[in-house]
Amino acid sequence: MIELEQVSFRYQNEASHVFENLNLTIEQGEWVAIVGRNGSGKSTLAKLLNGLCLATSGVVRVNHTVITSESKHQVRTQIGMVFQNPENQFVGTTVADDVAFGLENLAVPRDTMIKRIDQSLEQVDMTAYKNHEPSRLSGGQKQRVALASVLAMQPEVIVLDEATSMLDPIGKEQVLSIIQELHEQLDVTVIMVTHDLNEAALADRVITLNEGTVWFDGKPREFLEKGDQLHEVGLEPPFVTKVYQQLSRQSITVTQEPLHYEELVDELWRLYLKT
Amino acid sequence: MEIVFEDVDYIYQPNTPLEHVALQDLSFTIPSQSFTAIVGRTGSGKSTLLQQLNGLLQPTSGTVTIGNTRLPGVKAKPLKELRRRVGLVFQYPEHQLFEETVKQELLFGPKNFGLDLAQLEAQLPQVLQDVGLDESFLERSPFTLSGGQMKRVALASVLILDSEVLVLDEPTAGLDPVGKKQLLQLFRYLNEEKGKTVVLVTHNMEDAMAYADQLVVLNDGCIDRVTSPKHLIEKRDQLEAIGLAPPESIKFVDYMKQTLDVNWNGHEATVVTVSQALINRIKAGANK
Repeated sequence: MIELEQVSFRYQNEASHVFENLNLTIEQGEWVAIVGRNGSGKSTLAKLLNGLCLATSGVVRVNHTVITSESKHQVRTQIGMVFQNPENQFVGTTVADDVAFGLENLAVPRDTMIKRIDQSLEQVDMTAYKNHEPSRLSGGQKQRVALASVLAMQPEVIVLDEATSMLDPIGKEQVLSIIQELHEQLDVTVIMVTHDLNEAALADRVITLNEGTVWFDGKPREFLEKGDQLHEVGLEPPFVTKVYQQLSRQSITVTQEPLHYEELVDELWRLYLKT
Repeated sequence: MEIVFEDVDYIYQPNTPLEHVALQDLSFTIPSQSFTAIVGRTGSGKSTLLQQLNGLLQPTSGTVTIGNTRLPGVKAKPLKELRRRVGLVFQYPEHQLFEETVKQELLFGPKNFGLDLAQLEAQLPQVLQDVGLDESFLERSPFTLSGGQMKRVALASVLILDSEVLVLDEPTAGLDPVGKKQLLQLFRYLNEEKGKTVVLVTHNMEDAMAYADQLVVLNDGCIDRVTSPKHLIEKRDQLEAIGLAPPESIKFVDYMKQTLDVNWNGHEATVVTVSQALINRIKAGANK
């Protein structure tokens, strides 16, 4: 569980706060998407969770441990992060070495380490690339290896900071479907910072930040129901949401706010056209 | 400024065990004042290609002619002149920012090219506004900015040079949707009103289809085709094989046609046309 209590944060030498008295609880096993315009505090929030940034005042707790400069190293073993740029996260000369790196730092015994490397590469479907050079992989493959490195640490929380924004459509889909699987199979908490609202619609919960405050916190469908109000916080409703708005104006509605075009079309068929 | 690629190959670390052919036999033209998108999946050679556009890399064989400059074999001085005429914004803005303040960052290029700093300084607020930032950013350190703000500063530092050609590598990745639209419209404005040649490098087909008038499709270091958005949409069944996906609106239309037997006479897929087709179909009822 992650708890933020009255958290304020200001970068050194900056006059204004990114957050003031922010309160937020994320339960173990939740999949949360964090959305908001550039500079709204999304990445800072991600950094507060693993001690890359420390709260100026207030408390950030991960599984009841308060994050401080002393405890942050221990907390990092429970929170794995994957960043936007796949190039920046590699240290090893082979994929396996790379996954081993974090484990070596934790002084995990060798046979456990080998087992965990194999297991995590299997989870991201990269076993065949075990002895490949990371720099030769495609973007999607690189992010999957970055994800494997995180999984090998058996974290309770995985934070993805725009981890798919540099990927082509196929790479993106690979990474998202692996996250979906992990989330279903393991009881891992997923926190995903993203600008892609179609991606956010996959989560259990959407938190929208605006100028350092929580503008919305709820289910993806309720989030999309906001429609044009999303513009106020720098977001653009997805194509399907805009189409559904037009249909609603003509009193053509379906049972719930559609998350995806297939869902909308299928519902229209079921409710209006099926004989 | 017209850019012509003729039989261009580019090989990383040639004649070594690590030799890697990144571009093979590329021939195509980017017409002056066009809005050209270079699309292809990650690893298809897009970034290698764009670095030939201002001589950061020069072809291993073949030639790239940019205006009156011909690569390879260009010396330092004309190369500098070329870089003033072809502005390049990299994929990762943190790679190109290094000054202490945003203001110094924006004036670094002009200083390096010996431009009139006093005059440009007066233009800084406008350039920042164009990229969606305000004057208050001038005294801030680029490194305290968010990813999206850094990207905007990197872009502003190139815009201030008023180059004839703008080369943009995934310029909108990591930007919020409103900021993204604002920048794409700025590129369109610079292209249509200011006559800039815009080269957009992206794997985002929504942006490429909506803004470009010419598409250069790369696959595995080779030209797959040079086409227009309209023609590529017609051949969308071939996109997946080269790692790309049609825009969401097109996928929506395909699914709607297939599932609901909707009449669709090749309109442009917009919110209005798609909703109208659905409304008409539902009004026609079950026994259409």
